[in-house]
Amino acid sequence: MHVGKGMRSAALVSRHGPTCRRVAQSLGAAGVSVRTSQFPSELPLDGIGDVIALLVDLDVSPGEEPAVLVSEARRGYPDVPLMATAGVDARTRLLDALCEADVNHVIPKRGALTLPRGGMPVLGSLEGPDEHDLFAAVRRLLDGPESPGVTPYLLSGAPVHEVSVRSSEDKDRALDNIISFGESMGLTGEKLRRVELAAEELLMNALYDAPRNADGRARNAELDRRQPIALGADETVHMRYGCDGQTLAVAVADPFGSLSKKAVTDRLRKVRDGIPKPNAGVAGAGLGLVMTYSVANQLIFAVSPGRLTEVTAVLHVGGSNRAAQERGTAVHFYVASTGERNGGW
Amino acid sequence: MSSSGLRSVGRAAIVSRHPSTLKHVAQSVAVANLSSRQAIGPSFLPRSAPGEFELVLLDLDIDPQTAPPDLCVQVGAACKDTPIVVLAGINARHRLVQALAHPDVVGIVPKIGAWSESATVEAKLEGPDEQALGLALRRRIERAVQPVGPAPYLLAGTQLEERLIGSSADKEETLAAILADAARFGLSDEKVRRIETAADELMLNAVYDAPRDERGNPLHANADRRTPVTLAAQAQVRARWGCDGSTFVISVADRFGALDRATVSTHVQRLLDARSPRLGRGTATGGAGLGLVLTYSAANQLSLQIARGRFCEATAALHVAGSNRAAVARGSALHIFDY
Repeated sequence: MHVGKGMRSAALVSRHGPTCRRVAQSLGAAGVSVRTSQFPSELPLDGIGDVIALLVDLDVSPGEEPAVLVSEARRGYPDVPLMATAGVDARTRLLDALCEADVNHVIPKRGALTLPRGGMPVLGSLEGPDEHDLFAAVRRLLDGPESPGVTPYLLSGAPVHEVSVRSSEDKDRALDNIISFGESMGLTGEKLRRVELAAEELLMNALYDAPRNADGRARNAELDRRQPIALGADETVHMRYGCDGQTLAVAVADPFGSLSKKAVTDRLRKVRDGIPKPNAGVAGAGLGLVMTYSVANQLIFAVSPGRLTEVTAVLHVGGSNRAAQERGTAVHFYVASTGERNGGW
Repeated sequence: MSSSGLRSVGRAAIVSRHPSTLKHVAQSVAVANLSSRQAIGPSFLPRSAPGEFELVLLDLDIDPQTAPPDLCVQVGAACKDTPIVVLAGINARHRLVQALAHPDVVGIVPKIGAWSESATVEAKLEGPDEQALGLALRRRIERAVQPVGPAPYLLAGTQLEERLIGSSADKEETLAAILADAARFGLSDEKVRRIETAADELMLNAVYDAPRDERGNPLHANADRRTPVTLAAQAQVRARWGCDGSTFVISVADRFGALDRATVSTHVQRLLDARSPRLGRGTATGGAGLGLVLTYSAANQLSLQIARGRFCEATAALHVAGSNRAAVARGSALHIFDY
C-alpha cells in the first residue's frame, strides 16, 4: 500500500493475521494508515509519509530477545514512538520490552493470558490487541501528553466526577467517594477491590512520591505512609473518575511532573523478577505501582516534566472479574519532553 | 476537597431473579444514575403511579413459558403507563420481538450470547451488555431534544464524518464514502456488508419514506427506489458516522419525525414470520418498513430518536471488534426514544 506524502501512517511488524487486522482497524479509525512488514528487517525506510508510530509484534520471533527485535526495527525509525504487542509469554516479554528497550507502549494480545498457568499459547489461539485500547492509545499519541483525565477511555458523554485532594485526610475522603461510586455501579468483591487498590495507590503516589522541593528533590517520599501530610495551595492533586458500564477509569494528576519512565520501569521489574516482602508503612518500595499494574487493564502515564504528571488506571468491569483480569495490562507513556528526573513511584 | 454529587435522577424497577442478570442490569442502571427496586416477578412490584418509576426492566426469562406480552401486561398492571425495556436470553430473538406487541415496550435487549444457537442456557442467562444497556438508559433519562448522532456510542474524541443528503444521488455518494471508510479501517467483507445494509436502509428510509407534504402525507414512499428523488432544502437528511476501532456507528436524521413506536413495532414483528423479510419485498418500492427490519438484523443496537413532526434519527451501532461471527452472536437490541 502506498501512503501519500503528508498522510499520517504507522509501520507495523507482524505476520499474525488477527493482529494485522486489529491494528489496521484501530489505527484506521484513528485516521492512521498502516504499512505492514513481516520482519523488522523488511521495514520500508522511505515513502511511507508522516510516520506517527512503529508497532512491533514480538511474536514474529518468540525466541528472540524483545530488545533485539525492537532495536532492529528501530534502525530506520529513530524518533518515532514505539509500541510493542505480544501474545506468546506476553507479560514477561512486554515488560522486557518496556524496561529494557526503547518502548513506551506495550499492549498484550487478547487471549494471551487465558491459558492455564505454565501453558504457552500458539499463535493460532491468539487474537490481536484490543481495538479500543489501541485506538485510545493512538488518539492520545496524536493529541499530545496533556491531561485529558478519563474521558479518552470512556464512551462519549459518560459522566466524569472530580475530587480535589491536598492532604491525607482528603485522600481518605476521595477514596470513600470512589468506593461509593463503585458500589453505586453495582461493583462488589474483587472488582471493587481492584478499583479501591488502583485509586489508593495513584493517590498515595501523588501525595507522597510526587511532591518536590524547589531544588527538585523528593519532599515526602521517605515519610511513613501513615503519617498525615498536607500539600500547598498551589499543589492540589485532582482525581477524576467515571464509568460507562464496561470500563471504569480513574486518573490522578499532580502539578509536579516529577515522574520518569525509569522510576516506573524500576518498579515494574519487580513484576517480572518477583516482589520483595513489603514493610508496613515504608515508602518507596514501589509495590503500589506493581499492585496497580496487576489490577488495571491499562496504566497510562502522561508527564510534562516539572509541570504535570497524570496517571490513569483503566479497569474493565463488564462481565466477570476473571475475564477482565485475563485481558492483561497495557502500559503507555506519554512524555512531553526528554528531560527525565527520578521521582514518583 | 470538592466533590461532584452522585444523587440519582430517578428510579427503575427491575424484574428478574437471575443473579448474573441482576448484576449486569444493576451496573447499567447505575450508568444512567438511576436507583433501582428489584422484584422477582411482576406480582411483586409495588403499585406505582405513572412517573414513579422512570422505567421497568423486565427479564422475560423469569417465566419462559408465558407469552412476553402477557408478562408485560402484568408489569403494566402494577406500574401503569411506565415504559418497559425487556431482556431475554432464552429463545431471545423470538420472545423479544413478541414483546414489542405491548404498547409500553420501548426497548428490547438480548442477553450476551443469546443469539448464538449453540450457547448454553447458563450463557444465555448471563445478562445484557452493561455498556450498551447503560447507554440506552442514559439516553432515555437525558431526553435529548436534538439528534445526538453517533458520539454517545463511541469513545470520546472519536472523529465523526458528516454529509447532508439532498437527493438519491447524494445518498449513493454518502454510502460510497461510508464504505470507503470501512475499507480504510480494514474491516472484513462480512462486517462491511453489515455496515452497507444498515447505512443503505437507513438512508433509503430517510430519503424515500420519511418526507411528508404539508398535510402529512408521504411524498415518495410509493416511489420505486430506483427513481431519482430530490429533497427540498429544508428536508435534507443528515448522515453522520464514525468508528472507534471497536464499534462502527451510523446515524441518519430526517426532519419529519413521522415514525412512531407502533409503526416500528409492527414492522419489526415481521421477523416473526417464517419467511425472511426480504422474501416479502417483491418490488423495488420500499416502504413497508423492510429497511427497518434489515437494519435491526444487521446492527447490534438500533436506536430511534423521534421528535414527532420535528425529526427522527436512526442510529445503528455495529460491533466490529474481533470476529464478525462473535459480533453477530451478540444479537440486536432496539430502543425507541419517542417523546
